Amino acid sequence: MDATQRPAAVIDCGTGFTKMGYAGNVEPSYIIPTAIGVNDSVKQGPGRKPGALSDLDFHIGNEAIKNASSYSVQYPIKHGQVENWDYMERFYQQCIFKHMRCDPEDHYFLLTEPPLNAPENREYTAEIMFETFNVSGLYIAVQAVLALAASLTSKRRTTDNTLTGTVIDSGDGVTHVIPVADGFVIGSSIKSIPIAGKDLTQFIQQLMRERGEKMPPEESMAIAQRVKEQHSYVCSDIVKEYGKYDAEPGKYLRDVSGVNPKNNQPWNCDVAYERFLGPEVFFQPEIYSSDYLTPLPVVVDQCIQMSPIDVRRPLYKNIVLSGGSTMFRDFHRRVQRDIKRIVDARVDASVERSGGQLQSQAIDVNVVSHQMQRFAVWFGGSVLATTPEFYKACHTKAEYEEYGPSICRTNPVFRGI
Amino acid sequence: MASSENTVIKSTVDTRAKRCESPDTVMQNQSISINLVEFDDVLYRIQADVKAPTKLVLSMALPPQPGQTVTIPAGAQQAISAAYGPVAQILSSTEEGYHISVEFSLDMIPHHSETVREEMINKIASFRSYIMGAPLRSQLERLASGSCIEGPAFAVPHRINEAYFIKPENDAVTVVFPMRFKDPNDATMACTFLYEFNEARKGPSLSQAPSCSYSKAHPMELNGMAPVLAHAANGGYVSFVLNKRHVTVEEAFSEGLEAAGRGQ
Repeated sequence: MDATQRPAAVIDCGTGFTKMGYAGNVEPSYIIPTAIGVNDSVKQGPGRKPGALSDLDFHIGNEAIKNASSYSVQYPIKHGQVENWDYMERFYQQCIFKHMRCDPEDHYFLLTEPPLNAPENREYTAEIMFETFNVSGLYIAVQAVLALAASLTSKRRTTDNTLTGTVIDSGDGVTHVIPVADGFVIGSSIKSIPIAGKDLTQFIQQLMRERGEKMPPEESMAIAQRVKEQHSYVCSDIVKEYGKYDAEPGKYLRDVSGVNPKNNQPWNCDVAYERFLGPEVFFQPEIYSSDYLTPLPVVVDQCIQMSPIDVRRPLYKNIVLSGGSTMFRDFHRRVQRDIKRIVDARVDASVERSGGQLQSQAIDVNVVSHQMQRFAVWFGGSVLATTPEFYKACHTKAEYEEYGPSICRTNPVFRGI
Repeated sequence: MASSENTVIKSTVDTRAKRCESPDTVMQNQSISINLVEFDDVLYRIQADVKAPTKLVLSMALPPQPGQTVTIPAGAQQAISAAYGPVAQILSSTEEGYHISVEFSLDMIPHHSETVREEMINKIASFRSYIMGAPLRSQLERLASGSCIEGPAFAVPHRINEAYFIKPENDAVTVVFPMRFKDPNDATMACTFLYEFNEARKGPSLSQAPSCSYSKAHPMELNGMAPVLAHAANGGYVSFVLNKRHVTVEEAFSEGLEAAGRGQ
């Protein structure tokens, strides 16, 4: 049996979470924190030799976090980019052998990379995959393109199957707005925003602390995360929303409670304005940060305006959300409304400047929301890796041995061009 | 390093079984269909339907053997009913492309104590070792009860075109693993490693362990076996001889089985 007859392994490593599973499934088999718990104490100290098995003494994912008291927890990916390749290699090791439980020699692998990833990083990944794990084939896909592919499949549109659209990819560490035309990422127009899931959690934590909610201090980050994931939503107008809360507090307040693991005391806090103020950071960044002030819809508009003029309409027409931080209720409606306002204002202004001589066709703004948003990138990868073309597009072990890691600088799909 | 439990099966069964404990949450058990692959081309399919939230069907396909029809090994069905009791029910209509389908009733998993519950879930996650380890398990059980009779060696396929061999004797069971490697470099390294492995057995700390021998030529037990499976293994042959005392101590027995179930 040939490796191309077996399902490919799809691993999408994000800043916060790693999604992995076999191609052809709808959901990833695992969503684990991209964390590794290593035992640093062995290496330190003069004259101490590491034990024979100390290089295997580490945990990943939830186990790493569970063992945080005896291991130091490290996050190998920061802001979407791999920072520590040594940890990353070990992270992959347990992903493959312990979670996916496969022999990497028998499978093709699909990994993902952030937009504008340095070619060197791709080479390091290829080195790890081919030399350490001896995989039979490797494909490194751009996350944004996979997210776009996922939205196509989930909508089951038959008429419009082009891979053109704007991807708003917001995970734990970083938010990108990426225009994609026919599967090509328009690299020069990518915008990134230094606000993502982690910042929202921090903001909610800060709000709750300032309001004087009695949370156990060491748990407050986890509580804020819970509030963000379970109770937050996007409102259409922040002033009206405040009014609604003040008129009927009983209807909108939520209770969060738990037990402090240190002293077993139960705690209980109210969640109020945080519910809509957290996600509001995307739309009015000034409430959170004094350095970064451009709202997300404006960034999306700028990004599309920087793209070639002939793709702008399709880019407005297909704005796709991906990543955990786009999961808030009504997030897509708000983004769509705000972008529409900006676009319409510009169109009206230009019509007015022409003195009514020019008429413009209305621009169709459409933000697509779907079920797979949280792991859209993984799902896109799973779909892509089941197509027969996938195996032809992969870099194979034989190619790697012939040419070395530089083969991963180019994408085989574009080789003919 | 690899444990015998499949973590996807474990976490799926664990979360769904937990929801079955209360009528409020059982409705959250939605329809799923998960396809998995494991070491040595064992395939799984986990299926569940929203209409029967307490049931879960696990299908497993053994590694394909070119030119042969693959069937589940003898004793596997008994091993399942012995291991899972009322929790598992072997379905008569096996999923197409798979060799066995078992329906688990998640509400039957004992949940009065956490350790008992976890033990059962770990057993479900070790499904493979019960099926593929069945021939060895039944042989070792016979050895433990003293009813082992000398007989011809037989092959237990455990990956594509590879098998290990069991040779029952009157007072012992010999297990022979032919070691095969795709890459000649790997084979050379493995030979060195296995030689050392065999030497290590002779050390004083392992005098209680089953006796082990390593040879480059195929051992006498494999005479008359199908040459494709039994001859010309480029990594040599490792044989273990298990005596009654190795299998009467409970722990040693289950540990040995686990290793065998993984097809090591």
